Amino acid sequence: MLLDKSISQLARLLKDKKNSVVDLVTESYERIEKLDHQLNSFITLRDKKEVIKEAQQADKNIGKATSPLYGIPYSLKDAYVNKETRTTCGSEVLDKFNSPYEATVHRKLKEAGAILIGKNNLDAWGHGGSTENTDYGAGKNPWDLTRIQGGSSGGPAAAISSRMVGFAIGEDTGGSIRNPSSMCNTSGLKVSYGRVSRYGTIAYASSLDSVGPMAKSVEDLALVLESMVGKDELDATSSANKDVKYIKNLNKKVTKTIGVPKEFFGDGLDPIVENIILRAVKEYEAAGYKIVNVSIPLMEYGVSIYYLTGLSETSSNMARYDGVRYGESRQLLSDETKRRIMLGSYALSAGYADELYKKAQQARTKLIEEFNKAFESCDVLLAPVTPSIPAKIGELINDPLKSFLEDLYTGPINVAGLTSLSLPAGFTKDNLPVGMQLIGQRFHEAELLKMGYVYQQLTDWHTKKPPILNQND
Amino acid sequence: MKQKIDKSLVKHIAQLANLELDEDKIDLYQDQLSVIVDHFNDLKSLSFADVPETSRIVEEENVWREDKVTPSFNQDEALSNSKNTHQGYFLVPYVLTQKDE
Repeated sequence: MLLDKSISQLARLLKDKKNSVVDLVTESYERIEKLDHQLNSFITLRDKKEVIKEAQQADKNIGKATSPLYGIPYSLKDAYVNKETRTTCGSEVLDKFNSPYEATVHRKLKEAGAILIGKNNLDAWGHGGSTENTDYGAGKNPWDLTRIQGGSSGGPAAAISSRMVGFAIGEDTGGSIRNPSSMCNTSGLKVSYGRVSRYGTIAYASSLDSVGPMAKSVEDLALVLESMVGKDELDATSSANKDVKYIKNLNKKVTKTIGVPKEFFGDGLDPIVENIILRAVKEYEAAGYKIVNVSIPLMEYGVSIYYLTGLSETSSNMARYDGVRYGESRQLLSDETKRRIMLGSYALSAGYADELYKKAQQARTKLIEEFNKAFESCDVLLAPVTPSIPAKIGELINDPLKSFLEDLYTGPINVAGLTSLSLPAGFTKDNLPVGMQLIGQRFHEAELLKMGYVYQQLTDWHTKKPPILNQND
Repeated sequence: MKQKIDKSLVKHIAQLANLELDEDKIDLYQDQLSVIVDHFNDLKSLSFADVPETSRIVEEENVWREDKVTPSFNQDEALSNSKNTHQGYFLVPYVLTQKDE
């Protein structure tokens, strides 16, 4: 199985001509054809013949390849616009939308020589944490088909977990990369706000949205991220910060201090998850890291601060879907999306805005201060990604508040503009994956990747593959 | 501090959001929105007298660029995803009506 190998191993095989780009692309399509009717991780696939032709061309030019991503099959969450296929964002409203332009992240990956296979399933507009709020069939978890794959970037995580692609691009507004990475046993990086251009991303909440890589390992994430970053004149919020050498020092062992924030271990955390995360803390301690306890008191209000911000912004962003310039009528929006737009409109409306939206933005100022204070006594924070193991399909979509509360540990990270790495940390007795997140200061991606790399040298959780592969391959 | 969202408020918000709700779903929306707003209302117990608001996380400086002409969509591309066009323009729904209508 080629797509179980790391990106650098694949790059080596291609360079040495032991395998071809056509081999990789063919394997990708074969696995999708065999498994995806059970997982629903793709909404749209590119025409296979067209992609094989592209792969043959890539094989001819392999001598000129400079990027390790050259010839690697990848997929995009269907929230990024591209010209090869339609872009639905998981909603019937955009069922026939063919973008006349393409996202910066996609352009950069194409320039590196990576090969787009298709567009992944998601909660429509990013509105959800389970890939059930989609008009293209609920996503299923490759580790247990009766359970959610997480979300909103569920499709990319399931596709990587079941080795359909080499890597994928997700989008994280309040946990949408980290949550499915945790639930599908893959690695995912929520970058700092401004780290990667958002141009061509269908906006959920513009002050929270971030574009990040998803892959099988931290090493692969570092390789992909290096091709994604940089100032983009098409996104004024993209940063000129130059601290972007992720691979060079990846294996440099640095002893650091890890903060364990007590509010991430309070009521509502499933003890099964808690035990796995505390074991990871011990593993780091044994590896020479200093552990300190820290506190972020406003996390108690984290879900409200995150949702009041995100939903207010989404109510504004979603106003453009009026069926005039593109798309179908907004009456086709799902109940979940209508609920979110209405909550945002309420929080911004006369008589309520001062007590809700404005207060959330003031709390945001204080929350950032609290995180800064915590980082005075530690370098990174270690915490669970979600309070629960992957839910049964149907459990969250019918209980909107419960679904919101699942974002408790992830949403506030976006509110503060920080970076956070989600990586596999173990399994429940029933063989369901559980992930942890390492949270870093803004633009400290390199530090998180180094620490994640250390963990993946000490453990082999990230190498475990779901049973759906063992049965079929 | 419980605050039930009543039916007329649900309809008002829907109107603000340019959404039409099915009459038979209004009860469900009312219940679901109330539970969530009730949770949000916990924030009201906090007091932030002079705390400034943060609405974005970006460097506090303007981004300048040279004002030069660059390639853009042609008219066909710009109209290519619209179902209602007329002689090279988008057709939009009426927003104004006559007084006697």
